[in-house]
Amino acid sequence: MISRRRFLQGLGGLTVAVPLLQVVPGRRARAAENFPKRLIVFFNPNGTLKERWSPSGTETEFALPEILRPLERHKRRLVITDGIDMPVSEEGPGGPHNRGMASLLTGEIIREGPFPDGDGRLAGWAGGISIDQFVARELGAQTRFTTLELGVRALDNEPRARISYLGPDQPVPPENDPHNVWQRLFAPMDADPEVMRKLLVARRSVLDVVRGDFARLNRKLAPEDRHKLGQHFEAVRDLERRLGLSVPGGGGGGSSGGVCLRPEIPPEMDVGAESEFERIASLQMDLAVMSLACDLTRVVSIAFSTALNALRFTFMGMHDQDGHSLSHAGDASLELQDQWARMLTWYTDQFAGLLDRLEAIPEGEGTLLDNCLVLWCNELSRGNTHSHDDMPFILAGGAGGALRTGRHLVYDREPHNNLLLAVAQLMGVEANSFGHPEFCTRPLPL
Amino acid sequence: MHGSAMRPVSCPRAVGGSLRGGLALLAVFAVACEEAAPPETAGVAPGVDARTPGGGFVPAKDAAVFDPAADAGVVELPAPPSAPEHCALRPSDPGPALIRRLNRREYDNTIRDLVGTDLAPAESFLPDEEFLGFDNQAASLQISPLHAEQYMTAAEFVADHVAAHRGALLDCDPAAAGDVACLRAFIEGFGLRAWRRPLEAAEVDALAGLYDAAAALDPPQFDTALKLVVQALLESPNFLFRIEVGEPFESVRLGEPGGLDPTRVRLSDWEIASRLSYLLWQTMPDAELFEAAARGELATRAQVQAQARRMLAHERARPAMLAFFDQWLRYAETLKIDRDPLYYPDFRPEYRDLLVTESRTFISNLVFGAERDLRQLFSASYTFMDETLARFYGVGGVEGPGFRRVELDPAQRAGILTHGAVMAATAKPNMTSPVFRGQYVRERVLCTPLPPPPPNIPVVPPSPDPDSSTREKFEEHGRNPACSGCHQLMDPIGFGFENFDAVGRWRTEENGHPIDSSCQLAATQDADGSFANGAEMARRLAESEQVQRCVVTQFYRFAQGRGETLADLCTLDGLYDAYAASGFDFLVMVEHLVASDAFRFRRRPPASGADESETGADAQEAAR
Repeated sequence: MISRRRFLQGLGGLTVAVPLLQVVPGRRARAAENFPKRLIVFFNPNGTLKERWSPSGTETEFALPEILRPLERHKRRLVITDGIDMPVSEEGPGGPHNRGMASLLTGEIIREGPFPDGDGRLAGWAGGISIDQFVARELGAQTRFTTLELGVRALDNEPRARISYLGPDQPVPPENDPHNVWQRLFAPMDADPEVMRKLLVARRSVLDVVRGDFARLNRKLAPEDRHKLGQHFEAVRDLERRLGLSVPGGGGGGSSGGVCLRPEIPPEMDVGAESEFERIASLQMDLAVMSLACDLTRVVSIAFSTALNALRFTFMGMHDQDGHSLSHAGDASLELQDQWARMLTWYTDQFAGLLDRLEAIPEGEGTLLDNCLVLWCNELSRGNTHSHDDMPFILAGGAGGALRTGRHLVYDREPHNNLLLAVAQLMGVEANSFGHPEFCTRPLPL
Repeated sequence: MHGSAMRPVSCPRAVGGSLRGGLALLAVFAVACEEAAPPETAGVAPGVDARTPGGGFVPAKDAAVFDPAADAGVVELPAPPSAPEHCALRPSDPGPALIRRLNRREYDNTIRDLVGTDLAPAESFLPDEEFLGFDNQAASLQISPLHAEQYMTAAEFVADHVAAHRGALLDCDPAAAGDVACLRAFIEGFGLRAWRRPLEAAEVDALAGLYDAAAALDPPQFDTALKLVVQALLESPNFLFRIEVGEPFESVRLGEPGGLDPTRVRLSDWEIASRLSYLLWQTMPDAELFEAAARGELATRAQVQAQARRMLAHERARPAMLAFFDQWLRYAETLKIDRDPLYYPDFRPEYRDLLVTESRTFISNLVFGAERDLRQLFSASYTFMDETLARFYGVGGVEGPGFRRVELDPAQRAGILTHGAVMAATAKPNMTSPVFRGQYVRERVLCTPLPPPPPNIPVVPPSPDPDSSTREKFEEHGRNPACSGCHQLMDPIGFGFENFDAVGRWRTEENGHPIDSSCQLAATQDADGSFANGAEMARRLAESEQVQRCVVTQFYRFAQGRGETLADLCTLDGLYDAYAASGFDFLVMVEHLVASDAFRFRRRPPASGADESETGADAQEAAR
């Protein structure tokens, strides 16, 4: 049997030569004010402990409590929000984790499906497109990859493990293996442009023929089967459209003006092992940031695990309980809540590390972070009540100058669809409403 | 034992419902611990499509429906309905079917058999979404843009391989026969095998057109065209999906006029060949099956059954049938378990493979060996071990490499439920979990799934504690009134397995606390009662009709790539009868399944058909 490595090396006739950090000079340097905007979604599950999370003080002079303390050095790059609810997650079938996951980035009500849930009903997938995919329809048109969905042990193949959706009932699964991500994004970077040009011609010829197959088949199939085939057809058309975007740039994106560094190839590892969680998180964030710096994509989501996970932080010596169980700790169980807060603080460390990475990439007079909008989200506000009220949303980065940061904003029961709408507008994507219209009353004032 | 009285199970605010059709097994109940489920979803098993056209689920009048006025602490399992007398009288309904995408395993096997080398490109594909515990379910096998990209690069990889080793796959010499003629011959021959049916003239023409496209690429033109053709064949939905269109057929039925069957189409011989090969071998048909299809010899029950018998005797049937058992009984998850060295310091990673090999060898022997009584799956006091595994278990007298049959103490071990691989797959990294083990038996073995716990419980499940036994901790936990109702359905079963630690080794005490594995089995159709230990409980399950019907249902889900519906009840009942009559020979059940109408027919789509669809690729194509 031919090993996976050999197969990957065979991709497109390329061999994988691996310089450690290869600097690719920017080919399409732009004027500083012209850097593209990028969106990053950062997700971790099972709620938080708002009493150890919410800042105290004024809008601009505030102190960060225990869970958010690792963000101290990035305070002036944040908008920390309180008082945003997720009322759309109170609707539809399924338990609060599933409902929260389905609504979190879509603003839509969860649909009925085949998954039995704790409310005695059958949960399904989300009812609409998620904000990352929505924004990517515009932002992603110019890049080799429309979006990038990364997972850090986001392994289960169910609604509680999906945040990104192309449309109703169309979850987008994340790639959990940094090795595979690297192969997809960075392996073609040193390809010969002439080889890539011919590859493009070949691929287009092939997809032309495949497109004919859809039309012929479609006439014969039953309606439900045609629907299934329609999804495949859309995927092929999307692929066809963006193939040309990689050529003649040498197979990868160029730098958008800053520094595009080809990361070191990650090792193959057991992506399901608890002990690898921290290492995989670090590798996935490296890849995410460099895919943005190299302008391979402008929209990235990183899902840390899934709702209802059974993940212990053994790399921190926490062997007894998993995160979901600890999130259930009653308010009288202080010792268990302390453990839960340690896990939550670790996620803040990761978020801060992501901002560090973005800030380390120069773009014009500023950094990549100035041109990013980073949305940090969770499907619950609190694990032991499963509340969707007063959610822990944080925005970070400059959004290309559109977002005023260094602030703590307190809202009065603002539906989170308004936040999603504001995200679209901050990214320069026109929209008057997002998600289920009943839950979207205005763009969140920021 | 059908028709037993309603059994009270204390589970707060529960809903009982039953599916008509004579299957005790399908008497299911949905439990709503916080609020009652609305009637339209009550009683529908997960995977049972409540919205089936023509078979829409309406809570049957004889189903026990939750009454909010009744005692909120009791769920009533309905008495099983009587045998479905109507089955013989109606044209059988094949149930809803969706075209199925190849999953990763099927993709790799198919490429292996198509090109003759195990290239395994699907190893790096995105994982397949699962449903009902299986990774081959039509509704879950979607295609995202990343999938399309992965199929493209894999097709390029395979095409390069084919071009480099074309000798075996190309019957003609382009220098002698002419490039285009030779390419067309390849398209027809290789194309038939890739798409699992003969290609239409228009399809051959479209593919042959790639010869011209190759002129602009690297020479020689024929070689490049060959690569493009292979890519186009492998990126096509005709390869990636098992396309089923079916054909109208004359229906002859007692007391009915002849003419075309109004509700069903029969699958073509080529489509039957694919159904057989993907079920029995998890790959494309072989030459003999293709030839049978070409000669029109897969049209009758007897013909299909004869092929199935041949295929089941082939070595490829073993991994395919084991793929079902791997997923149904989940022991293969032990290959990936993460055991905390703090609690299990002597558990070495290589034991994972050995434990799974034990279970696979045991099942393979029960399915394909001389003694084919599948009741032994849950009752056998023997298993298979090599020396390393025997030492791990603490079993003496097994020396040298190689797995061989080993007799065990019947008071300790009884079949697969007491295998280390099952016990490990249903434990936590640092301790056993009576809850997971009980849930496993309910869901996988009894086919009565329970929903996850109600959400807002501010309680953290027990963690390892040297001061008390796991059972004591869980019993205390289960006394919480918010939990106890549902946990009574799981924990007592799990307590029965407390003699097995989180890596499946026998133990009689835990941190100095003696293990008590006696408990009660309740809320089953026919296996209730107290037991002294897990082995005794497992033997009770082995004799249960509910359990053996569950075997049939689970395999039906795997075979059909979907959950069962009301329309399938007659089929399932027939399969169970044949299976029971054979003395629970699994392969007899498989042979009956492939001969059933549900396997050989499809529902006839509405006559108006394709042209009016707004959702298909046609409309999108037109809009371009």
